[in-house]
Amino acid sequence: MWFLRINMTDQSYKLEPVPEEYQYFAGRGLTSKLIADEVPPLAHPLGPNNKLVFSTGFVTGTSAPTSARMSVGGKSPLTGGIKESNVGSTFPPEFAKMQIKAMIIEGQPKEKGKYWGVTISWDEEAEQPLVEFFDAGKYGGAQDLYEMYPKVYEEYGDKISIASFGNAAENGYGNSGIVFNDIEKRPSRYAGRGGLGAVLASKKLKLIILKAKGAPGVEIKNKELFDVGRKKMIAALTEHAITKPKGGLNSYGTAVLVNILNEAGGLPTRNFSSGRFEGAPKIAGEAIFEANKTRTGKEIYNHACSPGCIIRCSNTYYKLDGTEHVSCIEYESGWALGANCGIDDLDIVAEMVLQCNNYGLDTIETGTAIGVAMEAGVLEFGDAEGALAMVHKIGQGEDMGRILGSGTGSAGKVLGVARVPAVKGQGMPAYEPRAVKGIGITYATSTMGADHTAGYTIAPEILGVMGKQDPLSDEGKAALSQAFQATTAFIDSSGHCLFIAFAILDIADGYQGMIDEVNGVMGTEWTADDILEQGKEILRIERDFNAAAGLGKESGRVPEFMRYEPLPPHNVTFDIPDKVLDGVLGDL
Amino acid sequence: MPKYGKPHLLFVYNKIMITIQLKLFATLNRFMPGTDLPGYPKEKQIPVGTSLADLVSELGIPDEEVKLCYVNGRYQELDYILQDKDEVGIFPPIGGGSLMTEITLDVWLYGELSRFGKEFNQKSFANLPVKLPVGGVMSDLLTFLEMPTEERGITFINGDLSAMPGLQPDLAHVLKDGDRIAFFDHHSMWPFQYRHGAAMIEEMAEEMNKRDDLGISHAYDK
Repeated sequence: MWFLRINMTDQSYKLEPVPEEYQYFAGRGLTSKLIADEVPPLAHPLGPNNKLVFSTGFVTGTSAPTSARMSVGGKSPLTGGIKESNVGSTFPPEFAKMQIKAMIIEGQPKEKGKYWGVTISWDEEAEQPLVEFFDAGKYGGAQDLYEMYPKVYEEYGDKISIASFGNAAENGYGNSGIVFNDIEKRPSRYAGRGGLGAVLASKKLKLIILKAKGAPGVEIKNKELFDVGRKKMIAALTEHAITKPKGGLNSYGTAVLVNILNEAGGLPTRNFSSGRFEGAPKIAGEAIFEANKTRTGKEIYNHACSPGCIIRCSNTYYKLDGTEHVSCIEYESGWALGANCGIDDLDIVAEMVLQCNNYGLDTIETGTAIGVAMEAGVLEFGDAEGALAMVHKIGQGEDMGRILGSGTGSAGKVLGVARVPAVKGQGMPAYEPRAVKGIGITYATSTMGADHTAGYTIAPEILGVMGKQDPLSDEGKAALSQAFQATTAFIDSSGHCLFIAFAILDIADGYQGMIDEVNGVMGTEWTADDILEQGKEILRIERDFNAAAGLGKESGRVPEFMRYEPLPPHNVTFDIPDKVLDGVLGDL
Repeated sequence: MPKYGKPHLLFVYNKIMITIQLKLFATLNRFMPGTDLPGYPKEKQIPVGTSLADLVSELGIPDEEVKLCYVNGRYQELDYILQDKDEVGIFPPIGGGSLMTEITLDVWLYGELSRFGKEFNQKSFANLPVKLPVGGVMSDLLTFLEMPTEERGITFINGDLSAMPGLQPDLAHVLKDGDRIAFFDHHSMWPFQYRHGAAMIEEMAEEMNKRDDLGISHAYDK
């Protein structure tokens, strides 16, 4: 295993053996530890001293199901704090098979306006990865990613994996992702949140191309144990109602949550001014499923975003004529560009998602920034055509578009709006903290800013260890949020997609399966307590980096309006006391 | 009505007054002179802090003649404190000539359950009004819809979670006029991580607290 350092100041690279202190970290644990150790907390996110770290999880690249995930970490131009953004693609397993434990992109070329690319392939003679730099000038500068990707495949072959960025990143936006290919070669899988695309663009590294042919694959220390774990995980995923084939996620995709949250009064509507949207049923997962059935003449179940996934939650939306419009309309995307903007036209929402992919924008941040612009009167709530035109303006960097591209928090400042749904400057995803208090605690306290993926599973037996605090009490919710965030930090390190958490929360054997898989690969004897402790260690590293970067506990709050504006239809405010919020990461 | 100024700024008997819209139904109409039609709304000023019981007493309606009080379309107990601009409806007992022998529910059926909406089926969902006799409960609604209870998964009553797959403590829940009831099929889901701290009906909260896992689950049908 190596650390691959790519230095963009002089376009050189180094393969280093992995130092002892990093050997037992992977994925998010490793990206966060490396950033905390190597990036000065006060470095400018787009300056030469920020770094970008790519790392796959412990089991990525093996036959463990639903594990083709990777973490990308850096200091975020959006939040000003540490960032881990997680992505599924063909890229992570190919990366892992070349035995690269982490890739660290550092430095910055002095020359302006010139873009580079690298190919990383397996050198069979030297038995190590080979990095070659090339001039990527012809791929830089305001190109549509849906046009650029096929050209890259044409030039470098079908069997490659690609990481890149779009025009949003070239504009230095806090709203810009790193784009990866999906299995069908679409530029549609994103390490989307936190503006890491702009960090990669600041390094002038337009293309990272992997060719893993001949690579040895991931070393598994205890194959027997790994297989035991893998079988438990497969059994849990294929049995659970949410994750099984033709189950919740496979049928309706994540957009199944639109109607549910709407009925619960927790679907943020028109820039978080209501918890219910009258047009919700028209943009929901059920509507996507039915529209596809009508337009293609058959029931269409979802596909895998990355190799080896058995949950297969990624949807495709079809046009009236039965041809593909876009993949994928996630719950968050459809909500951000739909309900949050008062828009109930699914075809226009689909087009906006497509254009976000095209420009390299994060769909959530785009929708929440447009929501704030609507609040400011720049355009009207419900103006679907206007919103689509605004997505183009953001993507192309035209006037108001540049302001919105900077992110939800900063757009709110520029536009003089008090109702700005953001934490640490990052736009809030699709769950209203006033109606769903638990997620509000996570949004407020997560090291990532408002992030709906920061608080996932906790095994029931660990809950016992927590002393069974009443999860409905304030203290109980805080304790749960801490346990969720710690376990999440570990799942983000495991290489599994977070959605395994749905199954393993209910099926304890699946939880043990994850631990067995990791122990099998690593040759370790970690227990459930050990992985919770590693999760906590990751959170401590991230929390301390943020504090040193100026994001102390006071940054861990929901926006003030949520404390004084009652949210219809339940007419509730966010009433979790600050000291409870402080306890979530303070008591680690 | 006062001639000048906004009602809520007027001080009468040293008290701040608020304005409500009052509807007295059926035989109760006689307690509100000046309106001919039962149920016709009339503005009324009352002091801040007035409860429904105070209002009934002030109107001179004998307690036994009041069956149901609605505020803004929702059933309320007599200790409810009235707010400015509230729309209040007061009904006499059924059989006393009341219009209110039935309740109307706002029913939403999602996904595969939309077929139980019959002519209201819009494929991915159905939204239909359902009338039930006063006092109707969830199981009555299911009977009316001809929907076996095991067909439904996640269920809401006015945004409060009332059932999950395998956990249906709401069958005897009394439904009120104007309630919004939503049913989801078994493909639907609401992961616990996106649910904890959300509102639920009392019966559901009790059921979850009784469980060993305190309700921290995605599925209850094992």
